[in-house]
Amino acid sequence: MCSFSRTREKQHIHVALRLSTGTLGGFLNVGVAAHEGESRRQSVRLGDFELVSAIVAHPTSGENVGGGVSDDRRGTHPQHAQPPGGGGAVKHRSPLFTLAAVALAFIIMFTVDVLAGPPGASSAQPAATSAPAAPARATSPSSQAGETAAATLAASARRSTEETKSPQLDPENPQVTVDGEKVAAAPVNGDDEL
Amino acid sequence: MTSVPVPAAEAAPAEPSGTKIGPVVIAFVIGTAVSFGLGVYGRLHTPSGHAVNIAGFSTGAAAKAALASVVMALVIVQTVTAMGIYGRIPLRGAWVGTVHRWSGRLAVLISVPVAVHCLYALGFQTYDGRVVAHSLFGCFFYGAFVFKMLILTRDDSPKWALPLAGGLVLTGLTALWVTGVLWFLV
Repeated sequence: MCSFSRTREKQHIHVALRLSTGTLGGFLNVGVAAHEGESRRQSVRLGDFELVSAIVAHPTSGENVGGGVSDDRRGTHPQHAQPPGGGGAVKHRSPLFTLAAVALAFIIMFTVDVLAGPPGASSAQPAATSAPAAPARATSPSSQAGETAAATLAASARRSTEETKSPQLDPENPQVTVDGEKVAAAPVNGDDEL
Repeated sequence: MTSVPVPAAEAAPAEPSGTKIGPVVIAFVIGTAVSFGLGVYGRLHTPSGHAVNIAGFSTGAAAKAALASVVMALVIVQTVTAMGIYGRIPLRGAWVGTVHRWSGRLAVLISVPVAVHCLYALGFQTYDGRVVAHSLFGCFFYGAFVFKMLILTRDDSPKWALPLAGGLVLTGLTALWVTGVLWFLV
């Protein structure tokens, strides 16, 4: 923190460099505040920062009486109702950024969950271990000599479909049965965690 | 029976001039709407029974328990720093407010995967008393959080509003942890 101030005839002039950081990482709010008249103000940009200086004139004499720079955020923010004991700096925009960040996180997580799909639907997921035996017989060596290759392919496709629809246990919670059409997760013993 | 009118100044401590109750009521209504909306979604949404899990955990429930415990630890930090801010314990300095804010932000953000898993995969369930309480407190927690965040944006809130909102958030999360993680671990 750097601060320069000067008092002349009980006129305290204070120029403040205000820094404000939001939740989502950073905007810089630079401004000039003066209790009395302000005659000249200059600013210069340094990358993302803007430095502002001001020369403040006395309202009656016109004499330049003071100027200052401070990075004390609490001194330049409008004060919330301060509890006894101090230290409770309350930001005014940052709660809204926090709310927005939480809402965004909800949306992202929901989107990821929706796009991920059920465990059995992914091509990378191994086949369900509880696949019914009947479809398996369809691809076993057939006793019917006249069966064509097309019929074999159809049976294979049918088996694949039936495997997808076969009942599976939720790997995260083996007590919950998840059917292949993702329509229900039925608590089996009524004592599952949320 | 006769009633003696009590002057308002005696009935309740006078608030500093400039405080407004309207924004607090609006924030409360919005927070209630958020809680209600989450509950309605959890009830109407057909539970998928699955959700994205975090690598390194044996089950989704274990991952949720670990994340919720981290959130609970951060909430304890929140409580301690809030007591310092309000002068209940000797904690001084600007770092107290900074730690309070960032521990709260982290806590809520870490809680999001847990909440989404609950809402999307399991929904609002009522088959057991604990589950009902857990579902209700889950919705309540995020409503209280929204309530508090909206109060924080105002300078003219009554002095009791912010501690009340923080207490509601603390209560909701503690109840969530007890009905979820503690039940899971015991």
